[in-house]
Amino acid sequence: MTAMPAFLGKAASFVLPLMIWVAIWAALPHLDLIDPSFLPSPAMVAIALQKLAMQFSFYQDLGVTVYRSLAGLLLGTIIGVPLGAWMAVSPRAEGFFGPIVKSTYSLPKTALVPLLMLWFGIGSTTSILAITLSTALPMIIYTFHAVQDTPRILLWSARGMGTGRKDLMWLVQLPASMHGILTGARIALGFSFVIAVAAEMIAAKIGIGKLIFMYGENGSYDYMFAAVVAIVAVACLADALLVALTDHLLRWQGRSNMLG
Amino acid sequence: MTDAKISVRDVSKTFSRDGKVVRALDNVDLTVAEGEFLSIVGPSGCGKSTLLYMLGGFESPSSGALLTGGKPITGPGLDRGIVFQEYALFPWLTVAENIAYALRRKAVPEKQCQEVVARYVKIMGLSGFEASFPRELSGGMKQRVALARTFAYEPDILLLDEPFGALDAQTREVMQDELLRLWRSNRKTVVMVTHDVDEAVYLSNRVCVMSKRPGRFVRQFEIDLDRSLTREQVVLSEQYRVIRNEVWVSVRQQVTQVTMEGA
Repeated sequence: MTAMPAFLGKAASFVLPLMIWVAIWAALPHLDLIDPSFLPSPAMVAIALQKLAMQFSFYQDLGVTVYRSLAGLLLGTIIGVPLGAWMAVSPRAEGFFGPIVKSTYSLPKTALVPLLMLWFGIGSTTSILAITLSTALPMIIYTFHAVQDTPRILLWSARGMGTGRKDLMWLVQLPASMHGILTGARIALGFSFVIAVAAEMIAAKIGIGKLIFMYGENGSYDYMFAAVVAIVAVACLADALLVALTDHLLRWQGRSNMLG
Repeated sequence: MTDAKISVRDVSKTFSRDGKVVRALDNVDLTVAEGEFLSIVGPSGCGKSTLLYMLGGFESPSSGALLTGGKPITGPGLDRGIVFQEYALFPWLTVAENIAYALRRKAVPEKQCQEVVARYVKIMGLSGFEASFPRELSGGMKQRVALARTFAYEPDILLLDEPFGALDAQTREVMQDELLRLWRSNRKTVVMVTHDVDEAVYLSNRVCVMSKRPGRFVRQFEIDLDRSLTREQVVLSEQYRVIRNEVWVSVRQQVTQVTMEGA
């Protein structure tokens, strides 16, 4: 029975600050700072969201965006983790991939979307590739540092107990790097939704990004905001699931250090 | 040919730090007989741990040779078991999995693995903690797990790097007695590095005192305490007091040399 109030307390501590921000949002048009026609009230957005929720196509848009985000994140992880781990243990691999990773890290990956669009056309392939590139980079960098920071004493004690160099990665370096890799995954997850929406604004026929762009063009700002709220809620849910997975995988570490 | 379990011949070790060449060990010779419990004491930074890491096969000498059972050491191996001050347990494995780690690498059948784990859990007083993760254990219990996982695969040689340095005084004494009891029952060859003179004298057959850097052996003491006595009887005996003071003075001379030159 003690778990229940603790859970409610946690929920309240999450919801209450949000409500304050919604209140500020509701008050803004009354302060003559922003033209009310460009900033729909929370109530208008809620109504728009309700109407969207009754349309099947809205779920299609949402589903497509989630699919692109997660597929891109998965590919980025599949590429990033082995590559980062390899770079951490092989100076040769680091010498070859290091410069390209460093020089493209700060590049806004959305800039690649028009180029990818030329090659792959409008649609999921272009979005997914843009997300893959954007998520692979943080995965490479976080994995690289985590593997490289494996305490020497753990490597020594593993080798002393008969662990061959090939097994060292699976048995010691990757488990020891889980925290860093999952931190990278959380950052990559954020990127994946941002890039998905941005890529859809530029090059897609369906998806939440396309929807947001379209409503913005039409001046239906209440619907535009409703679509934004929907994708933010989905991204938050995905983040919460990743945190739960992280807590499970790192249960040997006690409370995770993850925010949220 | 000798029947030495370990021989260290004319070993020197230099490494570079901040572009400067540091000489850690200087022409060290050492022979350890089978079943002997040898301790190395000396000022901090004298290279005694470096010597132990070379025996472990983790580092290689700049010159000279290290042999176990007449064969040169080329790398880490299951014939030697090392216990570190920081325990070095795998934090993502449970107590039982940590103890079984080396046995699984050796592909020991699972049933036998479980038996060995159960035996050492019992010996080390870890019952009820088999499924716990290292972070849930006290320092003393972590060190018990570290000892258990090393004893579990029965290496011929135990290399102990200040194994009780991180423990409080009472726990340290308990662990020392447990180590002594295990050593008496299996008579493995032990090389222990420590800065604790009492610990070295109480546990060892022989104590070697190392000089300040570059490390050399300056003196060695044969310890011939009556092992049938209790800890209280040993520690309070005149024989213990005399040898302990001799070793202490010898180490002290090395330490004060360091501080006087450093001042």
